[in-house]
Amino acid sequence: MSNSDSEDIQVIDRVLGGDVEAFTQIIDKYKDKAFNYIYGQIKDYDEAMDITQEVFIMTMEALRSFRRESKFSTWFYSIMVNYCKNYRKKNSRYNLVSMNSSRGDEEYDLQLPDERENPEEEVIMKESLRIVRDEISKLPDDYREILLLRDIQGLSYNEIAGILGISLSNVKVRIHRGREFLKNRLLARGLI
Amino acid sequence: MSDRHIQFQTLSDLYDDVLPADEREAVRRHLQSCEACALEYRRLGDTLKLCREYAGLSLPLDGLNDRTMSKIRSARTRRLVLRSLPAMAASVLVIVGVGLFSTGTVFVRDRATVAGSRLSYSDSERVIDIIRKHNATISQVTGEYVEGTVPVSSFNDLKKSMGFRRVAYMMVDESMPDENVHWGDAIEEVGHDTGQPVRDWAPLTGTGASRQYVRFRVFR
Repeated sequence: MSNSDSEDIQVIDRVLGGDVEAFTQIIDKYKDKAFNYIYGQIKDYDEAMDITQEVFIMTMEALRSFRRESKFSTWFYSIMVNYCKNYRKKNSRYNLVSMNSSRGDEEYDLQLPDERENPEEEVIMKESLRIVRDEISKLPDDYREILLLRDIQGLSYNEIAGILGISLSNVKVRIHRGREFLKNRLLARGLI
Repeated sequence: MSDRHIQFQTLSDLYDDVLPADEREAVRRHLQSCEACALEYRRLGDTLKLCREYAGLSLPLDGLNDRTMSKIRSARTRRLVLRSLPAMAASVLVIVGVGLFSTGTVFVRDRATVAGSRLSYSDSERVIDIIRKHNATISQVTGEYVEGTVPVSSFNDLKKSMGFRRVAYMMVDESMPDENVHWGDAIEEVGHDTGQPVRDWAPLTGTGASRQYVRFRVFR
């Protein structure tokens, strides 16, 4: 067990022993990675913030069911990945904003894609990274999911297999295809 | 290997260093002599380097910790209140019931026998008062015992306050449903009324950090 894993277990023991405030350490440690993944899947800053929060609350509530057969991080990522999958199933691909309009006596609603600025725009100063973000978001679902876990989160093949519940060979195939897909897209955009 | 170009999946495996040693060496030799494959491998490397750079961005997550912890605290408080409601209702019912019983309002066929095996009204009240003072919740009161749950940290004080009573107890999980609590071999009985103050309390049984509560029964 690595230092990082045993630190997680120590914090979990404290939380289960009644020191609920210790859970802030788990949030601090995983919030950036969790948000990056969730934002990569949801593509809406505010919604990604809400979902990140929900994932942590769900993790806290389920903490007693963590069997310690895997690393805490793997278990946490499983909760996060499944939450995102369910969320995406329930919601449409694009975020819409409502706009009331009228034509003569007739009033009607327009549903438009939400293109408001988000805080990420202020952080991504390099155009190249905006392109990377856009192209990752355009990947097919399976490839985007695996690329976010492998090349953004930096998880191992085994961890990904455990999180997604698929075989190691399937993990490899998806990683190859996802990388090839993204490489071709970045090549087409003149980035590499 | 040198006659054919290398497949992308092999380059990806090479990048992740998951190729068998002999194949890895063969691919490396090929890359030194094949410009097309070397270019493809560089492009893969550039792609993944950009991914890492994107992953390294620290996006503003203002207030995420506070908002999340605030919700966790609220949910926990709500759950504790809901958990204690049935216990509080049971306590009220039992106090009323015991009151009616002791004043003779309730007809009992063999009153002497039944009363002999029950906690007296005043004794029940005393037990309930002691339990309440120790941050415990009461889940059941019968003629024979009062049952409740208390955080481990408060249990030893509670036992000492009980004086000469028999107390059976076991460590439980906060969320453990009643049907999963078995008063079997796990029970230790301490505090028999020997006429002497109880000094050596038996250590708590049960293992696991998750067992943070004690379910107990205070007998007559």
